[in-house]
Amino acid sequence: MQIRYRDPLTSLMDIQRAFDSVWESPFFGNSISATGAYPPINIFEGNEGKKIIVVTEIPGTGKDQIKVSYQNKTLTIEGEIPAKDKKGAHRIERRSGRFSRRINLPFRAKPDQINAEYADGILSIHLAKAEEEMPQAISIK
Amino acid sequence: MELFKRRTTEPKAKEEKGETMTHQTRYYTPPADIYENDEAITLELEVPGVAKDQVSISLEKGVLEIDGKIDPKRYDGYVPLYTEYGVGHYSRRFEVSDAIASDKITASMESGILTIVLPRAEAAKPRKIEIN
Repeated sequence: MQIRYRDPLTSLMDIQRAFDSVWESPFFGNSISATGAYPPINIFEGNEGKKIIVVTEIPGTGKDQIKVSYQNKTLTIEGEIPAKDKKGAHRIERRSGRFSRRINLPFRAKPDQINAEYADGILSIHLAKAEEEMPQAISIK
Repeated sequence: MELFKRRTTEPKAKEEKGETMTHQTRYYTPPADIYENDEAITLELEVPGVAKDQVSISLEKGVLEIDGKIDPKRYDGYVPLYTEYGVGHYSRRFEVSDAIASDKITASMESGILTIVLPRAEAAKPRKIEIN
């Protein structure tokens, strides 16, 4: 699969990510990693731009431990990766604990058509763009 | 006793730094937790997107090799708009001491976490010596 970058949205999202990561910094005591907001997201477009899929990898949790909500163009993903008591640990690279991420979508979604599924550690959120976001053909009189 | 001497940092000859282009799909080094008790060493690897039957685990000449394949077709028909992480297969190798009962290794998969339990060989288990 080839990942391509598209400029305007990417730079906007980078700014948002930079702001989001502030809350993860050690200053706010919420730090697990300072490399960026967690969970990382990929956004795809399908069905000729009508559908948007937000995909994120949150391995090691369950669908009952993730909460997805949408309000006013903002998608919020929050939850917890249960931390196991690992005595005699040699290496702890996996992340655990609470996480929360807000994503400001550059479009309005139909609130009644948001579906989320969690399988194999991947959370996929399917959204449909609201009608007013779709291109309208204007007839010329 | 440390049974994992070190992480093998030079995997297959053609790979580099955990990301390799092979058939247009990258390879990533999955994050791992390793912990041990008197009975066994447990290895947990994050392999989101890998189905249970797409994992291969092999132990040969003291090297435990884990390979997980994702389904690249999953994203067919999707156009990436914005990406923060790369998607690809997973591969990681560990050097394992011979104090492991290699015929008793078990593995399970849940929510994108591959758990491998490596029981200690009987001879390697800590033993309490009673003093008479």
